[in-house]
Amino acid sequence: MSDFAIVSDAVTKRYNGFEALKGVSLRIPRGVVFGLLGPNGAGKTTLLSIFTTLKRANSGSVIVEGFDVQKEKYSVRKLQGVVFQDSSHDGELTAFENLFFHAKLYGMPSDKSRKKILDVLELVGLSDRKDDFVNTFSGGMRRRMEIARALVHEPKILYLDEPTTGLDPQTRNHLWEYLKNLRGTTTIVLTTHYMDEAEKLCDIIAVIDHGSIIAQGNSDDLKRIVGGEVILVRSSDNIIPVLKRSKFKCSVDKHNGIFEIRVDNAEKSIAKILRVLERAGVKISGVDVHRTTLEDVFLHLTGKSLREESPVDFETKSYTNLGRVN
Amino acid sequence: MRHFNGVIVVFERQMVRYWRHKLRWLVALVTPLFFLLFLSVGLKHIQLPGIEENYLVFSAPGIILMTVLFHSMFTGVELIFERQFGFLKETLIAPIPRWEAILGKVLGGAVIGLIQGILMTFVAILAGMPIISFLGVIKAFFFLFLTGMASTAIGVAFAVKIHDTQGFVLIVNLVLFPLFFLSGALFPFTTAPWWLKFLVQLNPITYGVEGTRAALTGIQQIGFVNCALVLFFFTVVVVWFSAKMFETVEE
Repeated sequence: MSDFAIVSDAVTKRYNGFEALKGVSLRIPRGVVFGLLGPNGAGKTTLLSIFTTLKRANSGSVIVEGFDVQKEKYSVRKLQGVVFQDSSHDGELTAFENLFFHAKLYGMPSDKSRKKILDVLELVGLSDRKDDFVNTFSGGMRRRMEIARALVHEPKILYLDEPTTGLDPQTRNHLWEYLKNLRGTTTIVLTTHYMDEAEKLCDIIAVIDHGSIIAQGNSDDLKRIVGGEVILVRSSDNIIPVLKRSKFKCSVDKHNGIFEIRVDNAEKSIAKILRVLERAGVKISGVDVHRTTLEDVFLHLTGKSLREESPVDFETKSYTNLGRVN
Repeated sequence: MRHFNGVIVVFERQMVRYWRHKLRWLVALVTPLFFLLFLSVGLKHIQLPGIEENYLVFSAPGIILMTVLFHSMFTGVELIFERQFGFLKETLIAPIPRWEAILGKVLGGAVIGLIQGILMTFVAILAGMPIISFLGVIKAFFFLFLTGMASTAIGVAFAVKIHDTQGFVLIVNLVLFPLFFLSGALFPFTTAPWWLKFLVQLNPITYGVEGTRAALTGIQQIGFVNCALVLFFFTVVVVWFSAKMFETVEE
């Protein structure tokens, strides 16, 4: 067997003439957390639907753990756990019952599933609510219950479609912790448009837009696409010749009285640059750093125009203030 | 039994839910009770042409069957709720064939219909409907169960296409009333005008009513075996059809 949990080749999907996927080829290594990033309508959910056998591709192939998603549908379904974007539980059953019927559907014997259900409910912190009706749960608890449900039958691959959308920061952080604990044993494929989520969780990120994968790699790889980070220096003196003389590897521009020094890694070079400037007697009235974030990458790759649904969530601060140096 | 795993799980879940909401389907007995207590008992002493027994004895079996027919068909609405609340996706993505899920649902709807039919049978006996034999009662329950399966399957097939509950209730009522009134439940069709006679004989539910009536009271207008065969084949066809319909469901 190959080292890949999922191998897709030139997958296409059309809806009434609209091309939702235009030949997506991906190789997802076993045991990683794989993030699928893209604006609304980019094709994330469609791709997931094809991987999880809910929809059929028009052409191309997808092999999941050695099984063809079209020809060996039930084998694929048995080894995957899916957490949908919208809820998919029965609120009139208890958490335990939701998981119990799920385990049965996946062919688990009762004695084995009872123990496993208690384990996964413990994992998501719902042990004490196991016999309560899911209707009485908060949104976060329901999501956690669904994640637990997706894990009951010990899937090899866990799919999460925007798992933390609409959840408060506490719940999101909790969920990330649970997911991190699964890393290595379970291959996790998640879609998100929260950049911090992708950055914190994902080993590999693929950016998808207009039905095609437009970039792929870990978050450092992706940041390199944008090309360098910027140190902003406010000064009445001209620092350009000073930096040129120092032979420091960087490029400098001046915009509105602020010098923009472009470097590969701002964190590593800022101390050095400030030392050079101070030694030359330059008066600095302020310093700021703009580190490349995944959001920069995302906007760089997918453009800044608004999409038909809601725009990308802008919530990570792109400017980090390092304080003032005088 | 691996192949019926899905049927069993879906059926079991239905049963847990029904048991939890006993009140819902017990309240559903009120309407047929009105028919039985006010219509059948009220018209008890009317003599029907060609029928020796009184009107209560004649009409009660049809009303018992109506209870099953109506309630089972409305269980199809669960599919609409499952779609709205997202639970349907859990079924669609499970490693079981779709027909297993449908068979589980149909059996669930039939069992809950049968339980209501059994309760109504007791009420009818208390109201004065004599039964011919214990075996007859068992045979009648067989007809009620088949009717329940067919009716649930029809409800499910509608629920596949109709995505809102109001629309579902509207359409299902539009189907149920002709099925019921043209089933010969309330009048002997043999003495009806030719066109009515024709329609009644065309209606598969007629064979359920006739079978139930023959089994419980011995009144026969159509041969018992014919009733059993027609209802059985009708049930097989609609269950097959609703399973086919369910195959077409996308998320």
